Amino acid sequence: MRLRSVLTLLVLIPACLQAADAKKYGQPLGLKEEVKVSEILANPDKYAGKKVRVKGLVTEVCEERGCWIKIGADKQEIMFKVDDGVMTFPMAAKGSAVIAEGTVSKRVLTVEQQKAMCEKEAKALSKKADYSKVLGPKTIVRIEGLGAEIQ
Amino acid sequence: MTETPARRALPWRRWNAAIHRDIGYLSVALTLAYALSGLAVNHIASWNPNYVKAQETRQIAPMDPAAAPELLVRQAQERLRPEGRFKSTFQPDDDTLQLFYDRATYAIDLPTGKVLVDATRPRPVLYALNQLHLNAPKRLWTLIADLYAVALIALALSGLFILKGPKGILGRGAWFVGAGTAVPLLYWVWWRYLA
Repeated sequence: MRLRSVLTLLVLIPACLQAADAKKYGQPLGLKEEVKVSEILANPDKYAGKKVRVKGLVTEVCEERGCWIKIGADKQEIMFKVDDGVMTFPMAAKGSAVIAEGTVSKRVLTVEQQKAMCEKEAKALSKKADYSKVLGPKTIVRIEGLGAEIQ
Repeated sequence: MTETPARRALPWRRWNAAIHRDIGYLSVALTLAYALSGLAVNHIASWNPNYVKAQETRQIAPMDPAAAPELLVRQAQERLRPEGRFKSTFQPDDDTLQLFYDRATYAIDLPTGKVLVDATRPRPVLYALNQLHLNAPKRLWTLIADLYAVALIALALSGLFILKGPKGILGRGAWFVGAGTAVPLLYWVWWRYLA
């Protein structure tokens, strides 16, 4: 009986803790004004290098390391990337509301750079490099994550 | 009254052995946790050490992408009858509707009715070990992990002086310590400069 009570407590305590407020990751949020995801994606040059606060839904989570999430809003998604280990997002965050802050980065990858990345990935996964998705220079706009709150 | 040399001498080797023994006892659980997690995470390229991923494709009647979002969600829920707690919904584009439940995500291609069900759940035990190993909780766990690291240093250093004589650090032990040091050192030189 006592063992059962202890086991019940061990299950309930983390569950109660999780049911608390928003889960915070990284630095505390400080910006007051929000920028729409669609606005950033439509004007990457305007926001590149600037710190922004965005609000949306967690639509994808890095399955291996929890080192990125995709934030969806207005039928658009933007990647929120953090350095490995700085924040670790759980898969359970998928579908949850998120407010996040970070610095917008814009990077244009040449065909050669993309092919080099394919080769590196193929080598790491012991597979043959697949260049079928390399169709030309590619612009990557994402948020380099500083902090986030997930409901 | 003067003390004899034997009484004055500090029995440091006995203290060392006791410290090594007790820190060893304290560190058993964390060492196993970190070692198991380390084995799992080392092979992250060939398997997911945190989650078991189960994907399946289902077919439901097609839906009109031009319909109101609320209607689409209701129709999708009626046709899929998902299990678990409903969390939210998102449309990444006009033709796709995603339903998020706590047990799975349903990505519906509205014009064809094709549904990709992604049910990813944490691996029992291993997920928890990996989270602790990677210091996902931060806060107090950072201090505990730091203390554990200090304990490992203490274990390593005190372990050098457990034995004296030909099997101690001045005899056979020196060769083993040398071999243990050479492995990472030589591998680093080979990997960094020669490979």
